[in-house]
Amino acid sequence: MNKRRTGGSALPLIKNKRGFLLGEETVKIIIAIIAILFLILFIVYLYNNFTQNKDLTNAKSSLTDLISQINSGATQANIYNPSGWLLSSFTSSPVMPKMCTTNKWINCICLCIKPAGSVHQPQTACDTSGICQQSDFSLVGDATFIVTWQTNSIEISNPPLLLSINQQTKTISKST
Amino acid sequence: MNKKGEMTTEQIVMIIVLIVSFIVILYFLLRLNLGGTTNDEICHNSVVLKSKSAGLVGGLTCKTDYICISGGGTCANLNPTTTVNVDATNKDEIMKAIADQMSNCWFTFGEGNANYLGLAEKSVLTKTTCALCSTIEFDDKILSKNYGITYSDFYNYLMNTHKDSSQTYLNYLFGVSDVSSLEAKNGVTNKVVSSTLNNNLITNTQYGILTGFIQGFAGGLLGNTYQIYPTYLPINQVSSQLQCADFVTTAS
Repeated sequence: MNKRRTGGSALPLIKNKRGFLLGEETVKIIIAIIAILFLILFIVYLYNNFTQNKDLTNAKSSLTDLISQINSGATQANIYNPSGWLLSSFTSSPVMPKMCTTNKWINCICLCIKPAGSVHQPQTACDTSGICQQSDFSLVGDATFIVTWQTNSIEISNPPLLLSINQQTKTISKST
Repeated sequence: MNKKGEMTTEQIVMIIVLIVSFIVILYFLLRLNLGGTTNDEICHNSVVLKSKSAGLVGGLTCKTDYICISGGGTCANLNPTTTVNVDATNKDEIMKAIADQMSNCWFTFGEGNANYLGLAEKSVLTKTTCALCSTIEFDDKILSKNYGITYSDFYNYLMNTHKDSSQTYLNYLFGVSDVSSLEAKNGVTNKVVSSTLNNNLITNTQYGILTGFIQGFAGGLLGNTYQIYPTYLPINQVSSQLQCADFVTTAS
């Protein structure tokens, strides 16, 4: 009993005979935890990168298909993915996404990630992650929305999103 | 060749025969299109790869096919990638066209033996992931016939028609031999079947052929994961009937 007490008090930075974790071992554990945290962060980053790329690929296909349906004179179209993204139309230059302004398009339709966090406007969201194509058609969003930009946007929620295309008025709205 | 270096008639005929034979063989080889791969094959390969690697390797490369089932006319609201020509006066031929598309879909996505869901499709909560194999529309000539075929008639057709020598369409698509067993299936198939039995199979709306999975909690670790058997539904009912949170197919 006495030996144990003496050993513990003489060398406080190493593991004593009763199994207390001290000094060296603690440092090793902390380093291991930090390394695991970094590994988790790296995996999350890879996962997000992969899913975002997948969403962008889906967005490109969906928008190309929509524009093709519009140009073929169809009166309805469906969009299936990416779920949670926003279909928006832009008509004047100050609020257009960069992709539309750099291509000097007067009107464009974009399928972009939904504004969230520090990104408040759809054009900014489109600059972050999204795809645009030139089109004279404009979107008629839900007028009951409080946020103004939502008047020209429709969210892909509960897919498929069923759209009505009015070829005379050149408007696209959510099918009821 | 003779001493003057001229070709004899026999040689000329031989060369012509050789050239013609070569052209004929080449024509048939090209018609076989041995190196060609269709969207369905690419998709099927990606499904197999992903399922064999437990969803860790590769992504699905599956595109929705836009199909116009035509009796000679055009589909008003569809820009088709494939046109299936049928005799508009033959009901069975129209039903066979739908059944074949359902079979293609079932084969492409592994006939229920391949779990192609990766990490991105997993969820902590119950989640339905769908694959839209094709969007179908009928042309004006078929629609004008107003056949009034119901889903019930269609299931009976699937039950009584052989897909191949060994099985009926109903056997292949749902693994059952009669319609009443279909209504006893687990997952969502039974609900879809019972709620659509008296509905019209052919209307002027667009239809989708879908398959997929309903995963239990924790990506299927807790609770059962159900297969969505090939389902033919009006597009505007897909959301309410299947409640797909995610689609693994992309538009063409």
